[in-house]
Amino acid sequence: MNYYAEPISRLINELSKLPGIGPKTAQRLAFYMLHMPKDAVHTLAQSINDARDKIIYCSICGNLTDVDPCAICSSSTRDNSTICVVESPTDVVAMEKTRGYNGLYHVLHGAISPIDGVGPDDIRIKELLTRLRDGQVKEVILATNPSVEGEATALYISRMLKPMGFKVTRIANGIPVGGDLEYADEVTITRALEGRREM
Amino acid sequence: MSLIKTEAIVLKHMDYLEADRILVMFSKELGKIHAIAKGSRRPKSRFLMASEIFVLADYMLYEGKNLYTVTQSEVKCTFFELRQNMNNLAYAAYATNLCDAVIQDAEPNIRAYYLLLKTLQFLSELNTDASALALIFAIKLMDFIGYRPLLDQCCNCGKGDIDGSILYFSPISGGVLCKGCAASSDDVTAVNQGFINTVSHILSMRINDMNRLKMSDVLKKQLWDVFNQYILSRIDKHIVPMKL
Repeated sequence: MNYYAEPISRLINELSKLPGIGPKTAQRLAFYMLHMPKDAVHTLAQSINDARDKIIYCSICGNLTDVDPCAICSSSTRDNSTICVVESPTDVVAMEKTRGYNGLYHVLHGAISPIDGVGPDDIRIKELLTRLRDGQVKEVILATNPSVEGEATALYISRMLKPMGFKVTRIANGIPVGGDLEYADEVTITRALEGRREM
Repeated sequence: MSLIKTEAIVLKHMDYLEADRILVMFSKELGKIHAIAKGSRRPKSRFLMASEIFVLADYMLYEGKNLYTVTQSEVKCTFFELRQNMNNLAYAAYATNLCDAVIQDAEPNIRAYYLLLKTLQFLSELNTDASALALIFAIKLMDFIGYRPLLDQCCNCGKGDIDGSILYFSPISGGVLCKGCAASSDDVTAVNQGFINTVSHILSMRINDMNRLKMSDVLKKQLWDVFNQYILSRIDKHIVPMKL
């Protein structure tokens, strides 16, 4: 039995399709939207539409963008001899926030995962190899996550690129800033020790 | 409110909300369970390593309505070497995927638990035949959950003393067939006595000796083909190692 008017019921149904939103949260959000000023609701709907319609993948790096090629790939101030390989567009944002990297990116849109059946052909490794053929790139930084899937992806890519003569580097692992040694596992501490620096 | 301490291996994980993970774990004492590790995706989380796949750890769990909640963890082994060998990683993933598919929730199976633990340990070592180990793991695991293939008599008519240079193995029937029954069955594979002896040896061997069995590539391929079908017909899921 339907307890709500059809438009509300449809809104709840659509909202509950979003990740992490259950029927109760969807109901709460729907009623909140009904009490929002009309302009704010229109702006929200327009933003969703715009994002869906205007955002495309950059034909060079695979990052999300509204112009092709993206601002990073078309920038003349960027160092185009270095490519940083990341798993997702959110990783590009995380790297950019550091302001410590001035090279280009390559977004894989996933990682090799034998557990979930994701193989090398399911992510953008082929596109990376095509990109490297122009001879401008000297170093490839593998910044995939330090998880089982991320490590497997980094290992796979490094095995492909090293025989081709590229300098392949991996981001460091270790104790996070503000972390607690007591809770760190032996692998993390070993890696941190291996990567120690003279002060 | 009661806390349970258990040793477990993480079979897989799913991201949940902002920074949590739901872990599918194979516990020594509790069998296959689902537990939430809150905040485990944050870089400074104390559950960061304990929520990674293949990790063996002691967990302190609080039992909720549908899920356990991880309250403390002490990592015992990360099997880190698996990440440095793509081939072994693929077979380790096969082992955990098969465990996840065949082990029922909350049904302790200590033999299957030690089998998985030992398989991961052997796969972490250098110069192991990962394909043979995963095959032995699969055959023994099916035995430990109650699907032992019948090798000493026809599994259709019950006729004993099946002899001959060519024997017939039926994955759907669950073992060897006599010549008469094989003629009327369409899923049989002709195998030799060496095939049957190897399966029999695998079923009776100790878990600690799993890495000692040497098999030819031809025999391994035939065993994989037959037992992939055998597992598919028992659990109705097609689980095969990924080629990397």
